Amino acid sequence: MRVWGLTFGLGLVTAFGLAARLEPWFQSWIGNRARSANLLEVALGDGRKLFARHAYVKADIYFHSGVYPSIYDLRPAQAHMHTATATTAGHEAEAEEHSWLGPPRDWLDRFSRHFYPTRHRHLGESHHGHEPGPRPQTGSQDRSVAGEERELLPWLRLSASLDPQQPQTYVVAAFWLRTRLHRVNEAEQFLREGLRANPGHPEILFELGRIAAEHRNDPDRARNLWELAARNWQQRQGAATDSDTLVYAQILAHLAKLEEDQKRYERALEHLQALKQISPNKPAIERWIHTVTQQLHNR
Amino acid sequence: MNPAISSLVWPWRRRPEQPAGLHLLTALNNIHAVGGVVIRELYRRKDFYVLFVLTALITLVMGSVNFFNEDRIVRYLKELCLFLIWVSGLVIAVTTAARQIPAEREHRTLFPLLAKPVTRAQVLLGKFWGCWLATGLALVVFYVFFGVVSGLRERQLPLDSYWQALTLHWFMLGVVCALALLGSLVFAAPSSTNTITLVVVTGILLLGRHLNKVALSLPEPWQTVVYGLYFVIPHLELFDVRDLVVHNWGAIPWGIWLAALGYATVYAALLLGAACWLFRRKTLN
Repeated sequence: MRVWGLTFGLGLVTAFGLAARLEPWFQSWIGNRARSANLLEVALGDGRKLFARHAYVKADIYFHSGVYPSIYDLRPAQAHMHTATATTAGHEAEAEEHSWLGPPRDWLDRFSRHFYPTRHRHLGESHHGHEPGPRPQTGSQDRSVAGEERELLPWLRLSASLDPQQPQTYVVAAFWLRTRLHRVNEAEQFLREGLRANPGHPEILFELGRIAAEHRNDPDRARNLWELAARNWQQRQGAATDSDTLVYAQILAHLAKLEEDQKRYERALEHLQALKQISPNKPAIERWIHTVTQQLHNR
Repeated sequence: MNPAISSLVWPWRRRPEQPAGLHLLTALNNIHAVGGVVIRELYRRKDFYVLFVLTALITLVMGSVNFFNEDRIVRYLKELCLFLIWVSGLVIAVTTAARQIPAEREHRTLFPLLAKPVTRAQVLLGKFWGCWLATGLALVVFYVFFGVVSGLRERQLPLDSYWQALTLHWFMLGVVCALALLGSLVFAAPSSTNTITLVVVTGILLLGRHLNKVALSLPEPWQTVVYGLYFVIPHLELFDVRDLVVHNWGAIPWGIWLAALGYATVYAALLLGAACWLFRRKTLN
């Protein structure tokens, strides 16, 4: 009996000692999920990033009103997700991408196309009932259905919750929030959330600058944000891709326009010279430089 | 001859002493009476209530989430609710249909039932009728809930689309019920029938539409085999119009809708015919 009591006591002391030793280590351990207030992070850990992409694709599917190729369909070579970039002007050209469905292969295929969306349509464009088959060539634009773009937001929010280190998610959501849904405060708040998860990211800073310039009428703040974005982009230039270069070009172009509007022509010319180095459309930039130079001389 | 087998005649096959009209009426009455028992069983069991409460709870919780102060976001909620309705509908249809005949045999209530002037085919058709009606009733409750939730958020109620979605779903579940009844006569236990039917139905729902594309990428003779399979299987995915409902694509042409219902009826009839044939040959004791 005494042996059992001693063994039990020894076990208790060992357990207490181990707990006292491990608890501080566990609290400071980088893999401790309990530190996060995010339920998804606690439940899924780093595995949640696998689902983040799915949620982002889901937003793109919603943007196309459910018309989307499956893994069994042939995707066009230049297929891309364009939730953030599609405009009415680009609609016709983009419709060509949706040839992945092709002509019906048999009577069952033809019949089945009545039961799922087959016509290309973006959110925010109206529709005249379900008409399967190829899209009419008339290209007549339907009246706009205002605010339908809000349907993307749950998926973008979910994607950002699952993988906060994807700046594109914040930028896309902010684009729709401020341009179509007129929710500038929410867009800015979401971008700031993205900036906390991705400190100094040029694309997020650029988008914040656009809010300051276009919605808050605060050119000084916009300039500061864009200049910071440009500096950060130059620091990260080693890992730059084509899309990153496009972001830098946009930053420089916006900075140049801002300085031109503020009649700070010397600064505008500096930005335009930098833009000329990376722009594929050099003649247009040269014409712009010429215009700004003339304005500088006329002052 | 086995007395249990001898009691089987085709539901509408007239006995020589019976007038034709009266015989058909009796057969329909028998089928409806057997079906009534199945419906009573559905509302006595807890399956439907549990699934409905779960669906309603998950939908309402997800509906209460605030996304950027936009209170009219509805499509994600419609998609989630319809997905839960489809899962619930499948579970109710398969589990209800798969246990009918084995339960009657296990409880030894099949013999007293067949001792009455009821044929085996009438029992089987009655079971199908009951299961199909029961799933239909469950679907009506689910879709009313769906209509209320989406109508409140979206401030519009496209009744034609919702009616088409409900009826197509119901007829699809008719094929599933017939498949599960057939499976219950082939497989030893309801659990195996449930599993195999759910796997087959899920497989068709996920792959059925793409089987022709898969076939075209295969070498002969597999191309012919898989393409043949594509035409033989019941294309249950045809009845899945959730994407049209979620993204407000409007109603499909009514002629096409009617043709789809006919397609489901043909497959349900074929599967029930096979089930009747199997049940006729099956030794019950």
